Order: sequence, then structure tokens, then C-alpha cells
Amino acid sequence: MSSAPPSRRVAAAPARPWRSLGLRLAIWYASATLASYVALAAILPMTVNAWAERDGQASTESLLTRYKDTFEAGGTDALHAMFDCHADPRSSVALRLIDDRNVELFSASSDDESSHLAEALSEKGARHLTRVGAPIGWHVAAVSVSQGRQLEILVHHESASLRWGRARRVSLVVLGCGLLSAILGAFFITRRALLPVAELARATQRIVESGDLGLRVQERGTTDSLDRLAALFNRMLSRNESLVRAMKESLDNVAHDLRTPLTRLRAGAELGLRETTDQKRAQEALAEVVEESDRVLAMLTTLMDITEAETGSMKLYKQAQDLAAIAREAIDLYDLVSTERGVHIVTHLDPGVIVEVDRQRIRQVCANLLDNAIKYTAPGGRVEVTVAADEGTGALTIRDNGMGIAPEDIPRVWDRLYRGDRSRSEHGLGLGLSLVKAVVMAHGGEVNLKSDVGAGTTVEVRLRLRDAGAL
Amino acid sequence: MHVVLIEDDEKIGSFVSQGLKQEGHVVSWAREGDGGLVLARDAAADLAVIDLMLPGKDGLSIVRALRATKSAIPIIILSAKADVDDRVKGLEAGADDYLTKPFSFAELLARVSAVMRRMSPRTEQPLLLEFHGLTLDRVSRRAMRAGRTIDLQGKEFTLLEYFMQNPDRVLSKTMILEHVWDYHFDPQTNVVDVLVSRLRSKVDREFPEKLIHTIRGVGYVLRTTE
Repeated sequence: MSSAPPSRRVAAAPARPWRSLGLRLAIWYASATLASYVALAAILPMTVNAWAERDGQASTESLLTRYKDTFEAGGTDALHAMFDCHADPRSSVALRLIDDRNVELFSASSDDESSHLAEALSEKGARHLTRVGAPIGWHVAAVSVSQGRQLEILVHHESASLRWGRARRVSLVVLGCGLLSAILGAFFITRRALLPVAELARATQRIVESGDLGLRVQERGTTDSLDRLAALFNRMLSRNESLVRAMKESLDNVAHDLRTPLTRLRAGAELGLRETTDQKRAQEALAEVVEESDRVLAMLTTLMDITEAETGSMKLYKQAQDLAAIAREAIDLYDLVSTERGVHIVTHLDPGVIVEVDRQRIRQVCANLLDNAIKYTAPGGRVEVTVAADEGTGALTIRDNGMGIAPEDIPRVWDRLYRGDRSRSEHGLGLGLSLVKAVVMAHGGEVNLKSDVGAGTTVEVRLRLRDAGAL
Repeated sequence: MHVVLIEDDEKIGSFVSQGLKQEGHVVSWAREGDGGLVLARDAAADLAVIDLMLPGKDGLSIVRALRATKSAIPIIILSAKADVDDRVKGLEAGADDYLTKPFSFAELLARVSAVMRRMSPRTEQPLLLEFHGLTLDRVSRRAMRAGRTIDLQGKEFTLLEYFMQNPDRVLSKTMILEHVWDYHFDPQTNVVDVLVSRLRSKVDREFPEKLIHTIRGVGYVLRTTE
């Protein structure tokens, strides 16, 4: 009742969050990548351009220096001659010479474009152009020559503006590729990174849907955190599986064990129903039904106790108890039975053997062992009950000189409902020793049984002493 | 006597209610917790028999609620839980006795009368118990029948005293285990049978009229053969 809603929540959860988590991760990743590409695309043409401008300016200035040298050597005619021969088809050049009153003494331009610019040069002057900065690809330089005159040059490198355009196109391509790779990369990487999570989610989904507890998540053996998660998840699944299996097994066992007494019960009840004439026999049958149902009940209670003790769900009210006192109570309980049977009980009960146990449960252990010992000891026999402290444990030993257990039967005496051939005639459910073992184990103690046919059986129960933990 | 029964199971309820009526009690039967609490609190009842698992208010809460109002009504809990823990919880909550399902009606009756006896302080236990020619002196711890002394050992005395305090009342094995040995679980033994048969051999063997009878599937009773 309380377990259903959470499991439904687990079932619904895995599909969505990972998807939205994946999307978020992808968007984050793509944005970061894209931002770096944008920055790169912006910086790249600007840098290329800055270099080109610097080179252009330097070559313009060196060209002007050569014109100055030519002019100083040969005057305007030499300038003309040089201008004509040095006409470079890849660049437009405008050149002029002004005197100190800004009167133009010489002017030349290589083509229409440069003549247009030469006009701008004559209108505003090289100084102004240098100050405001020429358009990209245009370089202005001025140099003073003799008699206060000034030689000015304006060069337009065709290649510079082409380069600028090309650089911008390359940046755009880079940007486009970057965008594509950022998005694809983001999805690819996110998918890969979240693959184990998706796998985990799918496995969980499968387990929830199919109810198959044997399914496992795939581990890739990479020991990263997601793989560790998968490994942990698998360990949890294994644990759940073994618990569920154990529960199912014990349920099957109980169902099986109850079948026989329930059949007897039913048979008795039917007999009582059929018996219409003889009132006394009908009563007898009904009484048998009641007795059998008590047996079923006792069996069920004991089986439940054993299961609880074995699975560790038995509640133990541990308190400091004197083991000898518990033994004495059990002996008191069986005093009459042993006297009746002619079995002599001998005791060696050391006082002060204090164990931390659930009194009711250990009383039951003690009673069961004593019951067995007396049951399987012939009249005139002897049962010895010893309580002593030994190696940090409180030991309760019950030794009889009864018929003993055959060696091949010894490993099976702890099994539920196992009864040796010779014990079938005696009363009991065949659960006594199973319960003893389960309860003692639940206390963290141990049980040992030694037996020889004809010589008797010794059962030893060891329980931790109360002070043992402190030592 | 007016008994309030709080039990949601129709079959168990009618089984208990009819049985108690046959015994001469008046029974008010509530099928759920809240109504049951009102009945037990207001109906001037002499005894409440309460199931633990109930629709509405559960059994333990009813017991606590009753005890919180200083109600001293004797309470017997019926429960399907056989755990020692539940027994302790029930008694701690203020119940007077605790009976595990399935139970025999005879045992319920015996527990009802035991609880009632404990509740009435005026019924001081007589020092000499007597039942059809069988006497038990609780001071000298000696039993006599038809002028003959019966020599009783410790447990035999305790059991005979228990029988004579509850004549004509069936005592279950569980009740005898609890009363004589203070064992509150069934250790699956025949110790009770052994004790009863020993007592029987001392009390009945030499007399034609048997007083201790076995009720198969239920327990033992001290009564005269009718």
C-alpha cells in the first residue's frame, strides 16, 4: 500500500529529466562553442586587415621616399618619368607637389579612381587625410622637400580591399562551420555523456514494466562516476532480487508446509459433515478439526518466526539476562515431563553469565532444546544442562545420552520440517531446531550440534557476553 | 453483565456475541472504531472486547482514548497479531488481557471471568476452596477429597488452585502455561498434558466420579459429570 506510489514516481521520472537535461547541456555547450567562433570570426579579419594596413602604409612611405629622392635629383620632369614607369596595375596612385602656400606645382594620377582621389587630396590636403584616416586600402603620406615644398602621395592598393573582403568571407564560412559543428558536437557529446544515464533509465523502465528482477544495467568498466552509478544500481538490483527470491521461497515453503495439515483439517471437517447419524463420531471429527487447526496455527506462527529471524526482521528486545536463570526456568517447565519419562536432569549452572538477549526468545530456544533432549532420551537416561562463560561467550550446553542422530542426518536437522525416521512417532512440528538456529543467529550467536548414534546428542548455544564488546 | 464488543468481522462478531449472550450477558456490538468508542464510554458497560484492526479508530487508539478519560472499564483485546510486541503494546495501552486470533470461545470466556474477578475487589479469595467434595486449603497447601489427603507438589497445587478458582470453566493450554509457568508463548510441548494427567491421577484415579475433564481441541475443565 505504501510502496506503490513511489515506484510509480520512479517509473515516470527517467524519460523526461534526462531529455531536458540533455537539451540543456547541449544548448550550454553549443552556446559556449559558438561564442568562441564568433569571437574568432571577428578578430581574424580585423587582425589580417591591421597587418595589411601597416604593410601598405610602410610601402607607401617607402615609395614616397623614392619619389622624393627622384625629385630632388631631377625635378618635376624626373617625377613624371618615374611616375609613368612605375605605374603598378594593382594599385592606383596619386602624387602632387605643393609649395609652402599650398599652390599645386605638380600633380599626377594613374587612373580615374586615383584622379578622383587626387581631387580630394588637393581639396583637403594630406595632413587632414592622415588625421581623419583614409578609407581601408587607401594610404596617404607626405614629405617635405627643398624650399618648403611638400610632396604628397595617395596610394590605393587594390589587393588590400580584396583581402579585407576575402578575410570577411572566410570568417563567415568559419562562423558557419562553427555553428554547425557547435550544434552537432553539442548533441553528440551530450548524447554520449548521457548514454549511461539513458541506459539506466531504460533498464529501470524495462524492469518496472516487465517486473523481471533479473535484468541489469550494462556496465562499461570505465570506472567513471556514471559507470560507478550503474554498478551500484546493479548491486541494488541484485540485493533486491535475492531478497525477493528469499521471500518468495519462504512463502512457497510455507504454502507447501501448510498444505498437508490443511488437507487433514478438510478431511476431518468433511467426515464430521458426512456423519449424520452418530452424534458422538461427528463431535469427535469436529474436535479433530479444532486440534488440526491449532496445529496449522502453531506451524504458521513458528514458520513466520523462523522467517523473521532468518531475514533479520525479527524484533528483539535485548536486555541483560542471566543465562542460568533462563535455563532454570526451562528446566522448571520440563521438570514434570522429565520425571514422568524417567529422565534425570543434571545441572551445572554458573551464575553471573550475563548475555544481552531477548528473554522470551531465548527461553523458547532453551525450551525447544530441552524438549528435544528429553524426547529422544530413553527412560533412565540423563540430560545435562550446563551454563558457563567461555572465551567471551555465554555457552548453554544441553547434552543427552539418548539415541543420537545418524551422521547422514546431522546436516539436515536444521532444515524446516525435517524429522529423522525415529522422531516421527514423537509430538512436534519438526521446526524446533530450525527456530533455535534462526533465533540464535539473529542474536549474533552460534549453535553447534554433535551426535553419535547410541551415545547421545550435544547441542551448544553460544551467545555474546554483555561485556564482551567492551573488551 | 453488559459487554461492549467492537469487531468488524461479521462472522467472528456474531460468534462472540451469540456465545456471550448464551452465557447470559448483554452484548452491544459496534462494527467500527468510532462508534465502538462511544459505546464503551457511554453505555455504562462492564467490559469491552476490542479487535485491534478496525475501520475508523483502531483498537489501540480506543484503549488509549478510554484510559485517557479515566475509564476503568476492563478491556480484552482480540488480535490477529501474535507478536509478543503487539501483546506488550496492547497491555501497555491499558488493556487487561490479550487474546490472539484464532481463539477458542472457551478461552475468551475464561479470560472474561478472570478479568472481571480481578476488577471486583470485594470478592476476596477464600482460603479454603471447595468443589464437590474436593477441598483445597490455600494456607497449608493441602487438598482433601472424601476425607483422604491428596499430596500435591508445587505445580500440581498451582494448577488445582487455578481449576478450583474457575470451576466449570474451560482452561486452555495457553492459559495454564501462562498461569503456572508464566510462559506467554506456546513452546510446542506436552508439559501441560503431563501436569494435568499427574494431577488427574491424584485427584480422580481412586474415585468413581471424575472431576477433571479434557475438552478436545480446547483445554481442560473442572466439573462434575452430568
